[in-house]
Amino acid sequence: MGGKAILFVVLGFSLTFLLIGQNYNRITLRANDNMTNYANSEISHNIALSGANIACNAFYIDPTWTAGYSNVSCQGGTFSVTCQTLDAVKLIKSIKCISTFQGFNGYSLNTYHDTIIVTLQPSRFSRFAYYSTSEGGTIYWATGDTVKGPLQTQDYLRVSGNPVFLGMVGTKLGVVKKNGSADHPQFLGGLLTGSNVPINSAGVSSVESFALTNGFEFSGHDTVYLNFKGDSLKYRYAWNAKDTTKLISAMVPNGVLFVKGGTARIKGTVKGQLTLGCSQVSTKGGNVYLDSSIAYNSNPITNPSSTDIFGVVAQNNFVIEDNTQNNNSVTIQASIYCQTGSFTADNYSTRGYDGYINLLGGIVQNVRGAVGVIGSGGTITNGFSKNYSYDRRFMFSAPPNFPNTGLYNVISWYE
Amino acid sequence: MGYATILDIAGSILIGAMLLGIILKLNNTASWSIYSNAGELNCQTNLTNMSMMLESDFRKIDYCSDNTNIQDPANAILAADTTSIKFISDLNKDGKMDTVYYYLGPATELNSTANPRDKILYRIVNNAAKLGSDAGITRFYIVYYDINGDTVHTPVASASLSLINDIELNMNIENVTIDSSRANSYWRQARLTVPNIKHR
Repeated sequence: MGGKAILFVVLGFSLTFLLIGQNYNRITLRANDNMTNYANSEISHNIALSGANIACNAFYIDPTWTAGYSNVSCQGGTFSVTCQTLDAVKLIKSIKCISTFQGFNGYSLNTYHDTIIVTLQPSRFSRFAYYSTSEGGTIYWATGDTVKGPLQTQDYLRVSGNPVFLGMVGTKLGVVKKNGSADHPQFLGGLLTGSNVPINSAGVSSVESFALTNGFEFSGHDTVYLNFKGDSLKYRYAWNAKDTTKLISAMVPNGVLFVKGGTARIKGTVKGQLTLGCSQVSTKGGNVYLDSSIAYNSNPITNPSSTDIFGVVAQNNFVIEDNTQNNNSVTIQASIYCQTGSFTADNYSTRGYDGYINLLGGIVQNVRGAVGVIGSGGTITNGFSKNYSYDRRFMFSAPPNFPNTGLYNVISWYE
Repeated sequence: MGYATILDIAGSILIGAMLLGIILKLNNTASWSIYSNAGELNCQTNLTNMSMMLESDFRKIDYCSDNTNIQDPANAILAADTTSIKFISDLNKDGKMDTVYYYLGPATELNSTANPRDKILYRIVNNAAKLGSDAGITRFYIVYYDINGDTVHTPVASASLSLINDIELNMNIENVTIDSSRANSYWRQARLTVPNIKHR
């Protein structure tokens, strides 16, 4: 009898311990499963991230790359990449990377997937707040200078003191500090040395091809006077000739206006999206002169939803004319592209002090041009002071068919 | 009935009482341990769920599925403080930007729980009602870094919001049902890269 009772007691305790043990094990396993699930998800995410980055690199090396990848081994899993054109006109493309990773969760082998979608669009020169192929000798960015958007130079970036660069700065040759360690330039948007973005030598001709397709080209005139009047354009071929007025939307459906082999002289108010190109033929033309301020009909500073966008693509120079309209500050709202020349002011060293250049947009020039002269007291004695602002809409938008850099920008990244 | 029988009965009662005591103690200890371990499991589950949700949302800052409606990355973060952040994102991929607002509520909101330190982390999308659950969050704080890896001080001034380049998320979760430091899980996303604000 006593032996049986002891047996029951032992069996009872064993059963109790088994139940308690099972509960412990279940909780431990669930905790383990939970962490394993999180870890597996992260591995799957990292594989997708790696695949997307590898694909972006392939796309950077060859912008025509569409092959994608299929089941490439990575970190114990695989990824597959497909490329797709989202907009055949704007050349917007998408890279989709799907990862596959098999990991144990509990006693079962589970499959984890993650997806990353990258959207890219051609990078236009209008994206730069400032671009130069040559900095024009030894001009320094100095204390007090602030560049509010992306900057790229194919030259050395020469700095003195504490200039501030709010956007990404790229320099092909590197940074030169005039005063060595005493200079503290602030690159708040990052600095990329060795960055190579050569100017598009076919930029003007590409704009012309679009003007011929569905835009408008002035040809055979030494000078074309263009006075933008919102929806319409007044133009003439001599200063004392009579204006012809046309509705811009009917005249240039694709928004590309071109002056071939002549000089364009511009002023007025721009409404809508417009690009003005100007080419040199033989030795004639290729320069754009600013006769008076040119501004948007709807100012994007006061109206962020403004859709007015203007670009000037000159083969040679963009020149601020030395005249009475421009002797008390000028306003320029556009992205200016000078393929072989500079953004400059006429007679900048001999004209009087003419106030500020109030620029909203960007300047892309082959050689950095001068717009004024600094006197011995450190103030501008001739020409213009600079008040340049970057039009941040140019980060994602561009004037119609503005020259591209040959590269693509990531405009959207989905994880 | 002799002495031997009385001794047997007394001995049986004594041994029975001891066994009963052992069983009761065992049951009590086992219950408490399982309760405590289940609390730890809850902490861990809450932590992984919350961290996956935070990672998913924060990685989508300034994302928009409609490539004609992409917003300036400089304006992607609308407000940033140590325990709160407001940003824009196309969370439901409908091509329209949503406003997402995270903030940590005060501990006094959860006076009824056994843990005096737990707070609610609220998530508000657009003008919808605020959503939050008592996941046992006792600490939640965000550190912001600029492109050079320097800390952007909080509360971040409007003019400095565009300087934010990386985000560090920190979260501490405790068991809500007991005031014990045993069930305590900590998570840190040391540098959460927000890809859509990189191309400023």
